[in-house]
Parts: sequence; structure tokens; C-alpha cells
Amino acid sequence: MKSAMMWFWVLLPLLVASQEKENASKLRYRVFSGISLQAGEGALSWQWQAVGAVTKNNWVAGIGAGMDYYRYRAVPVFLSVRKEELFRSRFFGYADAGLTVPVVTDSQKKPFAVKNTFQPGVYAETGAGMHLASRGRWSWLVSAGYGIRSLKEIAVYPVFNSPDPSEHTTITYRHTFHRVNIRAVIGFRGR
Amino acid sequence: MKYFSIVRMSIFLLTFPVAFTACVKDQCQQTRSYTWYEPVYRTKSEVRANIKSGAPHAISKPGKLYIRGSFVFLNDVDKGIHVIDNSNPSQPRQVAFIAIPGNLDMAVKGNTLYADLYTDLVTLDITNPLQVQVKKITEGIFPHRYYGGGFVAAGNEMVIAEWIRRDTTVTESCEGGGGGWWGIRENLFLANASGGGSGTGGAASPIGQGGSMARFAIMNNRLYTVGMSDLDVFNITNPADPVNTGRVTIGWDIETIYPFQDKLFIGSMTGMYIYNVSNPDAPVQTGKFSHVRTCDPVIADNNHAYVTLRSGTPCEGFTNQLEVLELNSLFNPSLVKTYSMSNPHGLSKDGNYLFICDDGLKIYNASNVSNLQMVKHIRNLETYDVIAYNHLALLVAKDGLYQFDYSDLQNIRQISRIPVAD
Repeated sequence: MKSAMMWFWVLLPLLVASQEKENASKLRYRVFSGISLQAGEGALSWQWQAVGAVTKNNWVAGIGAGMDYYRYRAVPVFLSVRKEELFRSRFFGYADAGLTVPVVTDSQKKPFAVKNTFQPGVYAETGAGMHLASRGRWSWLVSAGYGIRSLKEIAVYPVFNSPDPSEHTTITYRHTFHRVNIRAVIGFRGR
Repeated sequence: MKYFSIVRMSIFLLTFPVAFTACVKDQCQQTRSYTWYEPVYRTKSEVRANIKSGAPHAISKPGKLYIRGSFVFLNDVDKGIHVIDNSNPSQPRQVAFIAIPGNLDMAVKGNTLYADLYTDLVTLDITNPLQVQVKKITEGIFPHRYYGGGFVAAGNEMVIAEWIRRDTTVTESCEGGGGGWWGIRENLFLANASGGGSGTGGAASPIGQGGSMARFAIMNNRLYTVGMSDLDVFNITNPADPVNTGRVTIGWDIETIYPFQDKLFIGSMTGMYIYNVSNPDAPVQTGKFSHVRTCDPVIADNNHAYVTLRSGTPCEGFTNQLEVLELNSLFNPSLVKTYSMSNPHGLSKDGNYLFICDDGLKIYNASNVSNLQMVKHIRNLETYDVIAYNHLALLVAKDGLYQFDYSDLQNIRQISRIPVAD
């Protein structure tokens, strides 16, 4: 399943390219698909994401989604804005903001909890990058950014030594992860 | 230019992680909402002076059950005993409440009720349940009740008269705080409410009938009580003056006692013991059946013993089942069959019908113990113990005391319920 999803996101620009059609508007569409290495305090992990966007002049705005494996697996869904050709160079700056929807695995859950649920939180990232190369409408980019991700976890535990077996303790955890991302991206732009 | 951009990008990518190292952080804050109980201490003399019948009040935490004639005695865990007039089972009537702090168990002979008050045994004259009188208090019988929830429940002068419930919310860092549930101190009630009192059946007997979770049993003018490791014998020839005639060390983690004919079936976390009380003051172990470590109330009939095993704190273990044992050889009872259960608690038997508190109440036709046939399954109840007697099943559940009429086994119906206070 994970391999299938990874290939889907990587090949998404190709899928979009196959659906290409003439666009008479000044707006052009772009698609980005990337894999990043995430470094946080607690772990080194990775993420992949894809962004479908429109571009005008040097501004790009779109919607993205992906899979984030840092500590607790989650799906980030976000709005993405970037400004290209910063300082008339190959540099670009970007900012993403949205939600992260937890899709945790059993091994990531609290082992002694009788019930363990997760709720969506904030996802945001900002950084800069550079166009490395391009060929036709394809391009290869690399970026580095700093991001945060939060989620809320609720765990219910039984109470030891209680005569009432239904007695429980509820603990709410509020996690916030601050991370650095190094991302390799492949992009495709429409006509 | 291209080369210079690549150099700049390379420098950026290499230095960016270093620059933001200090900002890389995982933060976690935990908020714990839990209930804890603060003990309220009173002097023993003050508590004993208040052992008397009071106006009936709502049940808060039902525990063990005892039937004597048309009266039902229902323990309210660590608080006392509700006296219920059950002359009309479809309309049971609470008539009094006897306040006994630390009470978990009871047994009745004639007009005398025996109850525990933490470490002590209390003897009450219940000729008039509305005006009970304390006849005797025997101290130090249940030493395992000395502590409860990390507190001294019954010291030389003080006992815990009540618990004040406090709901608390604490917010702190996940690191260095409670660290999860291991760090939580739940100062809840004392030892679990397993065990209770029981006696032989019989309409004309002065002795009532308790449930399978009993720690008290009456047989042959003797009151037998079990603690965590010992069996105590009291001569109650003079009911108002129980005299401790001996103590037998049985083993560890003793939970329940069930009298049948001239034997006592004693349940422990590791097995079932059989004691012969032909000599009432000198119980002798005649047999034992071991099982995995778990909680196990036990009952018996002429040929078989029925043991429910359940998991969950404080029972430990992971086993949930009913074991049916052959008693042909009392020295070495043998397993007939095991039936898988959800999380069984107390049980009772009337004739060929076996009543088990498991995922509600399950009623089986036990005429063939190798092939129990379920007759009825009453669900959506958190049940604790049951007494089935004379076509009436009294069921203690978390939300109250239920009574079911099983005179027509094809149409077992609930006829009454005394609810627990909201």
C-alpha cells in the first residue's frame, strides 16, 4: 500500500501531463511532486507530497497533500504559495499552511490505553529552494524549509486497584513538532 | 552564473539545517483528568456509635448480596448495608440503611447479621431491621483491610469513614510529569469487592444465602470468613457472641468461599481449595484444583464445581472462561470442560440451571455439564453477582439491583429494579 501510494504521488505529474489541454488563460497550471527528509528532535523521517497549482507571473498558488511519517503518520492537506525567480535568480520561496490528519499505525498507539484516538492539527512550512534543471516543461527542484505540525491525542487508561472496572483516566496529549525539511521535487507546467 | 547559483544553493542547503538546529524541537503537553478520593477519618468509637439503622437512601456502589427470608441485604461498597423488604419481589422496598464504613461482606443467621468494618467483625441484632443493635465487635480479624488505596484504612484508633470524590485536571509537560498512567495516583477505594457472605439454602433455614463472591459463609453454627490468606472460624452457637475458635492458613490471594454440604469451596487467584468441615472447628483441606492466575468465584453442587475465571485488574491474567470440575474425587477434582466467556463474574445455580454474570446475564441448562445450552442471554448490563433461588434471580449490576422471574424458562422476565443514584 505504501509503495503504491508513493508511486502515485511521484507519477502524478505524468498523469496530469496526459490530461493536458490548451489553456487560453494567462493562468497556467503546475504540478509538483516531492520527497523530503525531515529532521526533528525526536526522529529522522521522510515525507512525500504533491501540489497542484496555478501560476501567474512568478506567483504560484495551489493545494497540496501528502504523507508524513514523522513520529505519528499523518496526511497533510494544505494551501501552498510560492514566489519564483527571487532576486531574478533560480531561487524561489514558499509557504504552506493547512491541516494534518493523523493516520497512525497500531505500533504508534499507547500500549496500555484501552482507547487511543487522534485529532487533526495544524500543518505549516516555509522555506526556499532552487530550480536545478529543466527540460521542456519538466523541472527539478530542491528546497529546504522549516515547518511545524501539531496533533491532539486522547488516551484512556484503566484505573489500577479500583473496585469499579469501568473507572478510567483520560489523558490528552498536545504534540507539536518543529522540523527541518530537505526536499527533492519534480515539477511539470502546463502550456 | 549557473555554477555560482549551484554553489549558493549548496551552501544554503548545507547551512540551513545547522542554522535551524536550535529550532528543531518536539513539544508535548499532557492534560490529565482523573478522579481521586480523599479519605475522611473518624475515630473508631465515633464510627461504632453510628452503626445503626438509618433512613433508606439511594444505592451508590452496589456490592455483595445476601438473602434472608423476605429481606435482601445489599452491600454498598465501603459504606454499609441496604435493607430491602423483598416480600413482593416485583416491588422491593428499601426500608433502612445500616452505615458501616469499610463494609464489603456480610452473612446472616436468624436475627443476627455479621459484617466487616475494615479489619473488624461486627455482630448486629437485626430482629428489627429498622433498629439494629451492635452486639459485639471483634477486632483485627481481617488484617488485609488495614491498608486501602495507599492509606491506613483502619488503624488502632481511626478508620476511614468516607471518601470524598474529587475530579481533577492537571496540565503538565509529557516529560518529567506523570509520564503517562504509571505516574497517576488513583486513591480509590480499598480492596476490590470480590468475595462476600453466603450460607446454605433452604426455606426454613435460619441461615440466608449469599452470592458466589462471598468471603463469609455460615454452616453448622459456625461462621467461616476468608481473608487474603487465612480461613477464620467463629462459633456462633450464641449468635450474638461469635467466638473465634481457630485460624487456618490456606494460601495466597484467597477471594471467595462457598459452603456446600459439609465442605467449603474456597476460590483463590491460583486455584480452588476444598475443605472438609465435618469437625466444624477444624477445617481440613481435602483437595485442590489449580488454574492460571486470575480471579475466580466458585460454586458447587452434588457432583460438580463451577468456577469462573476472569482477567482485568486486580485479577491479572488474561483468561476469561468457565471451568466445570468433577468432584468424584474430592482429593483431586478433575476438569470436565472449559467454556469461553467474555469477562465472567459471579454465578449461581438452581437445579439444572446455571446463572453466570458475563456480558450481562447468561442462563444455561446445565443438565449435561459437558454440553451447556444457553437458554437466555440478557445483555447491556454490567453485572457483578447473582443469586438464583426459588425461581427468582437477584442480580447485582453496576446500575442497580435487578430481579428476574425464571419460573417460565421460555419467558424469563425482569420484574423489578432498584436503581443506583445518578
